[in-house]
Amino acid sequence: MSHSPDSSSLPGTPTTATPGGPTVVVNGRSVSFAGGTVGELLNTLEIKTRAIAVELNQEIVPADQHNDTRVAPGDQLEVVTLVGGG
Amino acid sequence: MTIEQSQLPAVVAENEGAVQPTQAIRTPPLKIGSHTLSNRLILGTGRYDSFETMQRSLQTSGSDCVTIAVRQEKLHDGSGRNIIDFINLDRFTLLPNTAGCYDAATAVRCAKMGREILKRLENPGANWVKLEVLGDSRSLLPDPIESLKATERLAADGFEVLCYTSDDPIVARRLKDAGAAAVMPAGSPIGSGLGIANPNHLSIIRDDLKRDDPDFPLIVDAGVGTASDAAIAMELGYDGVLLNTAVAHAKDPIVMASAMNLAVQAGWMARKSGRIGKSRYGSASSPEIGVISDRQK
Repeated sequence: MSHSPDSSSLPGTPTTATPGGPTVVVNGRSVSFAGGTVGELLNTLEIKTRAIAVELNQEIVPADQHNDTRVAPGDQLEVVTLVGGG
Repeated sequence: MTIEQSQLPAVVAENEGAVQPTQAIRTPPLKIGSHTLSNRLILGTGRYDSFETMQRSLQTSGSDCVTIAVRQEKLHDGSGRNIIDFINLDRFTLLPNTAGCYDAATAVRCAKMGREILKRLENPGANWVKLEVLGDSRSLLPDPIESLKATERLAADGFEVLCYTSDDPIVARRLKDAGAAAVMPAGSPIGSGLGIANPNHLSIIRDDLKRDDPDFPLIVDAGVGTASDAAIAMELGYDGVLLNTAVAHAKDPIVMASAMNLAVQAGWMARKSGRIGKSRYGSASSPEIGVISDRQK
């Protein structure tokens, strides 16, 4: 994942982690995120489907609370979707 | 998304989708918890060559319920293709699974994630789950202790739990007692195609769990290799069959899906009809008197 050096300083812009900058962990991967809501984080993750669920520190964040729930540096998130299965 | 008739094999195209065995006799709906399924085949959505093949197989299966798995979203994927765009959500109730979970805590988390997604999709499957807690990655056999713990927790949280389990009759009873809405013993290991490995155990489970509760739903889940396996499951008195690989990895999944539909219905009708007893010797169908022969017996 490449990015311009200054993009990591923009709030709500996830990139690969910049050493020393604020990060959150999404699906086991550290990404730069200066802080914001779950909704803001999702917007910048380029997720194209509505078929997702978000877990913040192992608690589900219902869709209607995405824009009211803050994500802080160090938080752990899981963003999951549906795939084929038996 | 519609399917062009010309894309379908001739046997399917002639019948315009799901083949109905007869106009006169139909299998009755299957009730599981708050759900009523018009068809007793529950089909998996994994392992198809393409979303398009899956979509056509779902159409020919006659099923109105499909399982689906919950996995981490691929960030920055960009393909934009999601499986739900290939499933008619007006027809199919989704049954989210907890496949790949090896402990109760993870399975409970997975079930809640599935519920959240299905709520967003406004799919009626939001309140149930196919609970699968594995105990061994080679055999894919379930962990009975963790399955039991997860069943208790999910039932307490309001889930209708359809619990995948082995063919152990005691574990099956414990899962029912723990609040499972349906118990789903494996015919044989997941994806093995070995069919019904222990029909005696499946019969004991049926006798035990339905003794005072004849409508309690029992589904054979896993191991089916071909249509006759599905028919045998139904002839054993099971209420439905859940399968995936037998269709998805068949040479022609679209026709095999239709075969499974027919087999499940045939098996239900055969069970309902009451099969004849087995005898070591023959029993003539035509009258034995009046034969134009003076042959002595």
